[in-house]
Amino acid sequence: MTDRNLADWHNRAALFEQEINKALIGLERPVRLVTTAIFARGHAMLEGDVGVGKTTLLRAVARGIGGAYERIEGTIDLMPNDLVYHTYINEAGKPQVDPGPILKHGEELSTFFFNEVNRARPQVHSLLLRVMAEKSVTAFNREHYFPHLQVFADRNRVEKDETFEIPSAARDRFMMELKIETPENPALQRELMFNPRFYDVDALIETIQPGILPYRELNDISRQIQHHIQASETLQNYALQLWQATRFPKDFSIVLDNVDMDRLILAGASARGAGMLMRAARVTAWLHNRAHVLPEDIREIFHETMAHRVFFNPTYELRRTQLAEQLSRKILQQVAAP
Amino acid sequence: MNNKHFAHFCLLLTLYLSGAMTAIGANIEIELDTPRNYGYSLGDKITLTAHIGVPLFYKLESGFLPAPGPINEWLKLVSIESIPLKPDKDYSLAVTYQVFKIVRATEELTIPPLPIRFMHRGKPETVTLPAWTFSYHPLIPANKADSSIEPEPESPPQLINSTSHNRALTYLLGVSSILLFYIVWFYGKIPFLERYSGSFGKACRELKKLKKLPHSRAVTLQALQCFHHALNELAGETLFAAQLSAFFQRHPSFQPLQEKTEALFVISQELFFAEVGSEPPAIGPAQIEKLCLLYRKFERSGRWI
Repeated sequence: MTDRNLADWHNRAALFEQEINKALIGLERPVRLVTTAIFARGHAMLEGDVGVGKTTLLRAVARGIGGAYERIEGTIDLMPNDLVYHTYINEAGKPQVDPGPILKHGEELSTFFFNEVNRARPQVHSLLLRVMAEKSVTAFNREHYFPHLQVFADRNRVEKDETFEIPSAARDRFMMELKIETPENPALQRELMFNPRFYDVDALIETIQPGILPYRELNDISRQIQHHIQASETLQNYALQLWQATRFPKDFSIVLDNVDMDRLILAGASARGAGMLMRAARVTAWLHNRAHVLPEDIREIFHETMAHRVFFNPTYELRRTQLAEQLSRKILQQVAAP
Repeated sequence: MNNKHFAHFCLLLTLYLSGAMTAIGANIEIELDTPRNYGYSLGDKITLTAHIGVPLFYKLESGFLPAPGPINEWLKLVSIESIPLKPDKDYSLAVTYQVFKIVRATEELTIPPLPIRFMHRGKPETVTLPAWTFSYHPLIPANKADSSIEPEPESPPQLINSTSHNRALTYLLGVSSILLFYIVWFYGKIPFLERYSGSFGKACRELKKLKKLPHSRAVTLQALQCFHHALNELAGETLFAAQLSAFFQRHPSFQPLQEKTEALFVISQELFFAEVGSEPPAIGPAQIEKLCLLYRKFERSGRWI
């Protein structure tokens, strides 16, 4: 791979974003973040109200990447086996076992969407954890690998009944946790409401040019980006400070309203999280057509890559959304570079 | 009435009319306290004190008391003042006269009765303070001619003690001078005592030191750090290139520096975050100091003491 190849991929990334933004209006930032996750080869958790376009976004992404796309709904009675295989009586009247959504496409599986992941039981979460971490699963006495797999999960933030909070270890596996919201712009709202183009999702997805980013090459290009984009010593110091600030905010004179800062943090971001921050930052710099990372690149993805890795004391966990946003904002305000 | 009773009555009447105690119409009692009745000469002041007892519904009309001024050709009324009351009396007045009569031999002079007015049930009623006689002496002996008298030299006026005023004035001048000095220093008008407070003031001080060092990448980076630190301090948060326009909107007084600042940020980003090149940086502490001095100027002008 050469610089020319990277430039070529940069054009593809731009086209990919452009195509998706054509189909999903008002979601430029989530599209940018998903693109970043794709090139950083990170999994992403989507959070948002019902009907804001999460599934449409992922279907559009799957079409733009190519490869196989699978989707499963999280329910309280879903068991890990349901992801791996399903049994039924076939036409011949004999019991038959077929591969489940994870195994069905083998190595071709590129996008796996777990809808309402918090409705599934912890057993299912642990299987998901393994698939996300190792990109493999053991079934039918052998290992199945999914080298191109990228997991997207969705968490409904409206309903909390009959849900299971995702364990911290599983949350840490997600590179990003991003919010999808209805566009605030009245013109876009009008467009979504009255333009018949947006009524038929299947037809809308069909308008996206397929396979803009060949999924089989994404791992390689991701490696290239990580090696090619430089992070200076000053930048490294800045990123380190940001990481430390998620662990010891008080040391950085960070104070949140009505919060005892000595008791707020149970655990700051992990080393894996800090690594993911830099992976995403390098991709952001590359998407901005730069060969070096700037603090702005880190700031652009800081909240989405770090906030869900900070674990608050149970007293404050109930106010997570509000406190995590405040904490991210204050960290970015306090930590300077250079 | 026999002779004995008549003589007793005459004695009481005499005592009554003598002035030691006067009752007017058996209603208003005036008791006159007098000083010695001898040893007065030209220019002396004599104060008579009248203690007045009045029945119910009598009220002294202070507006009708005689006004200070000449009473006759040799006597002047200096003042009539209320003084603390004597027990069982309703009014106490201190009446001061000054005598100016020129005499060649000792004489007896009489201060004439002084009228004072009371109001009783809406009707005025006037009573008089009794007359008072005293002996009065000449200043020059009778057997000495006026021409032989050597007048005493005029005594200089008594000086008012001005120590406290002097002290207050000194204090005021001192405070004013300190205040004036502070204001002049605050606005940097004293060249030999340049003011280095404020975020950019401190940065300028650092840059002045850095300017003396040989030009190198490390020195430029240090100088840029000074600038960024000062700007962050001024903004109250860390500022990056993307936040600059918002910062200048929040602080319109610094708006003229926006272009220069953005240009410096571009250079700073190149130096801090891009790949390290071998060539020396395009700018040095001197150029950064120039911008800092402008910031300091705007920072000062935007301040209020």
